[in-house]
Amino acid sequence: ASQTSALKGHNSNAPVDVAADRIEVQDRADRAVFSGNVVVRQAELTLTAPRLTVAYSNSGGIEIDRIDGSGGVTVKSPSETASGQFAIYDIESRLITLIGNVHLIRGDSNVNGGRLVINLRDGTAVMDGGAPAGVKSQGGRVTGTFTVPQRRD
Amino acid sequence: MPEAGDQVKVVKRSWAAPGGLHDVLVKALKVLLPAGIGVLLAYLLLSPLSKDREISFLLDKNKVDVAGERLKVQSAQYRGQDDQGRPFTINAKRALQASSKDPFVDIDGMSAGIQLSDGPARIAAPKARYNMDAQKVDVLGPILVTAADGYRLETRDVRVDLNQHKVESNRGVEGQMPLGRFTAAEMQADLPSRTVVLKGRARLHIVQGGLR
Repeated sequence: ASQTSALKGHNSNAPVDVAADRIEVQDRADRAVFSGNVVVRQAELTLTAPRLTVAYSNSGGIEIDRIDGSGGVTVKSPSETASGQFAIYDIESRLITLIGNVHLIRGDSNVNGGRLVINLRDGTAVMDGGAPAGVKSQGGRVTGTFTVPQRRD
Repeated sequence: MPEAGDQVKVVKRSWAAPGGLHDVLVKALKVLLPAGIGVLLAYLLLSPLSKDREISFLLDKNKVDVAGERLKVQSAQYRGQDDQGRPFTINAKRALQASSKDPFVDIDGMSAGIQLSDGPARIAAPKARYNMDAQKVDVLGPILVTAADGYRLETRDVRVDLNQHKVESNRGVEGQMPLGRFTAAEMQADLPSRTVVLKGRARLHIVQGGLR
């Protein structure tokens, strides 16, 4: 999918709001575990999952390093909705990676694949077969349906 | 001799003349004054025996304003030991114990010091109610917990268990911890392990202010 996402230039340092049925903050381990329909909101990005952990560092101020969702994660932005088994939001490198039975729905187009990487800097979303290079690949395939907007001429 | 001086002598002489007004007055007083003393003395001696007015009264304990406070102390200190035998102290600006039967002390201006495995921690609350037997403090209003390593937990209306160093609430809670501002239906904070568990529709607002 080549269109750029509305998440282009998303500020990964913006405040994060998390709601869940249960939150366990382990300050010693610099980690917070959220379980039970977890909803994470940061600016226009919304991430929902049954289980989620936030890894952060506290050097004078709080810095979230990574947010990991599992058990079926949905990432929503104004321009697309992506879902997959696992999600890793790496705040440092500003990348959201979805792995496992990934669906990307953007407008009318719908792409499935093994892995999706949404780059928050340039707003690109790259879907690939899933097995990264060098790993025995099970022939992950990328399928997609695209609808071409009608030419009104 | 000037006449004025004679004039004064004449007046003096008339005062001293026998049978004058002054003489009569003194004679009368000579009799009346001792009699008056006698009468007064008699009155004082006899008055307690007169039956018509009862001076004594019975103190009715219901009517009298009984002071409710049994023990009111300014700047009290309570000491105890946690489950591991480490001491804790509770300093109170004002402490009020209703009666020695019930072990509850209402405290204004509480500042408690506890010993955690990695150093001392302080618990401050303007208003609290200390249960001496259970060694638990019910905080009414704001509470601030600060530990040696800079860990801070601010919240309200919680129960502090001084035996196991836990801060709990199951009646709705909100507050601030290092990671951010939280609200939840229930909270269990375990100070030694710096772990806070929030339940019910728990929310956490994380403001990133790192150096990145």
